Amino acid sequence: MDVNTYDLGFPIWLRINHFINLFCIFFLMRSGLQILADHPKLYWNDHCRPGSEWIKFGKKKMPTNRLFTSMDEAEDVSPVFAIPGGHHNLGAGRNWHFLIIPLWVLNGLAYVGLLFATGQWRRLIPTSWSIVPEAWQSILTFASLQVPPASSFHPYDPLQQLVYAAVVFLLGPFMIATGLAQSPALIARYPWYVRLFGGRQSARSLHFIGLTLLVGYVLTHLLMVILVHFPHDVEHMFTMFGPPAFSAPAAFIVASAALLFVILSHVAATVYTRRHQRGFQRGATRIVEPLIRLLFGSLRSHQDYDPRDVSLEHHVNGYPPENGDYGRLAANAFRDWRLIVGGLVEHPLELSLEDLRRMPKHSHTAMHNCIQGWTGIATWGGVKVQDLLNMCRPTREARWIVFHAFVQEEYAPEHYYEAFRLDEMHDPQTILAYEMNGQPLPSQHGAPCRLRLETKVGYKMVKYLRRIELVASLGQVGFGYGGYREDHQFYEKVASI
Amino acid sequence: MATWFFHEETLGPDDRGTMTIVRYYFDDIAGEALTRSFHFHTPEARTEFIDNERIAFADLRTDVKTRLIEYMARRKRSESDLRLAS
Repeated sequence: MDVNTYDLGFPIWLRINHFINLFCIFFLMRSGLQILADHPKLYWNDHCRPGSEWIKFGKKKMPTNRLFTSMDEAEDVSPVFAIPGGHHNLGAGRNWHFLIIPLWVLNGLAYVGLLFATGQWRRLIPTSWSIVPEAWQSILTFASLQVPPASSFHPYDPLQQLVYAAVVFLLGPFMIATGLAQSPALIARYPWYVRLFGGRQSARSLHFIGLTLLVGYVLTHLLMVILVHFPHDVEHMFTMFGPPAFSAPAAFIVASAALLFVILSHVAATVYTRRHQRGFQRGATRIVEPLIRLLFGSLRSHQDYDPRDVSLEHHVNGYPPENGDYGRLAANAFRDWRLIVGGLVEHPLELSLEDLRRMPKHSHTAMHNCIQGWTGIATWGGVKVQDLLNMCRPTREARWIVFHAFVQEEYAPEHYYEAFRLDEMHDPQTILAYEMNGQPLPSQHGAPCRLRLETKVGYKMVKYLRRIELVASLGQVGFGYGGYREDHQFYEKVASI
Repeated sequence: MATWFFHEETLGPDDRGTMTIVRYYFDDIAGEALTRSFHFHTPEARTEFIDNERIAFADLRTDVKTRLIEYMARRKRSESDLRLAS
């Protein structure tokens, strides 16, 4: 088909795609900033040793003379830049991110499909190497504060075409690929995938660099629309049907109305999320959770890091309990500690540390992925949760398994707990760990015993275990959202990314 | 240790029998108090989480500030006793 590219025009679907993209991209950037603010440090190594970050944001200084946890490192972020803004609103930020991603990806796929189905691809994809010297000429023209002639913008200036092609066909997929590498479930099942990027933290850093490129692109794009041949381009873009028919003022009004709609959507979404965190959590997780279960729910961990990869310093989250019960047990090397397994089981259990040690031991070296963004590698040793379930025999009514911790001061007078569907316990690398790197579990990592479930982010892996309970419904657990973080910080409960 | 639970107060009940529970924690790294608020619906004995807030030490109500100072002093004493005992 001999297509005169000048006549390609801007079909209505393309304008709709462009508008949806504009709508999505700002939500993704703002929710991404909220996620980053929870651990505003970026690394090129998966050990995340304090001080080894290549860039950090925020003013907080961490103490050097005592234990601190990654929760202490979270920074406040303004709601102008992030959604919903504030301190540690990670749950809502993540829910916005995961809510918008499917829309953005579907819109992108529809856009690329229609580009090729309609011949519009000629607008973006260069077909001759001559575009390189032509784009260089454009750079020189812009650098000398001149504007290339209007005739070179039909359909696009060579530099414009190259940048658009790079954003659509390179930067967009790159953001998806590096975003997927943040999923503990995906990289536990396919550890090779994250190695493509040089590790989980390199993928996170690259995702951030992609974000800065995207922000730079959006700002430059908007600036050029205003500086170059204004209002011709706006007029052309907002001529909804047939040849250009809008007057400049009318096109300007439509363009302003579209931008205003996006801005007002952000203001409304931010205010609603801050005022009604629970309502937003309920609504968002109706879409987000089934999607995460569909994409990552059936993945089983196949991690087998070399023990030589173990992190010398492993970050922590959650301080050890300081209350009397725990203190007395710790003083006695947990000889009197008992793990209670009860609820909907045929054979309730009460197991000592020695009882656990007598059971078949399973060890694996795996990467811990904190929801805040940091990672660490350690060898964990303990008993498979499945072996425990085989001993206690859940009844037919049992659907959920809940892990309860000792009371920690930061959650007092309540205690930490997290719930899982029973089928999530089948993973062979789901264990109750009583050893870390060949030694008894250290206090800050959850002594005497903690859960390891390598396809989830870290907050699900309850430390300082005291009791395991099998229940029929989540309504019987805390406020009914799936765990302490879900109940108090509005996280979603699948936690596979 | 960065965050300590040091005070709880109960407000209400209102006309519908709902009480508000506010728990105060102190984050000594940020130098701020963290509050967690709940509704307690008396008729169904059901607790509902409302929100987390952060309050700068200087902005704390005077009586809460006093409680925090007393709590910190008690804590310092018990830590010092522990050191002496060991």
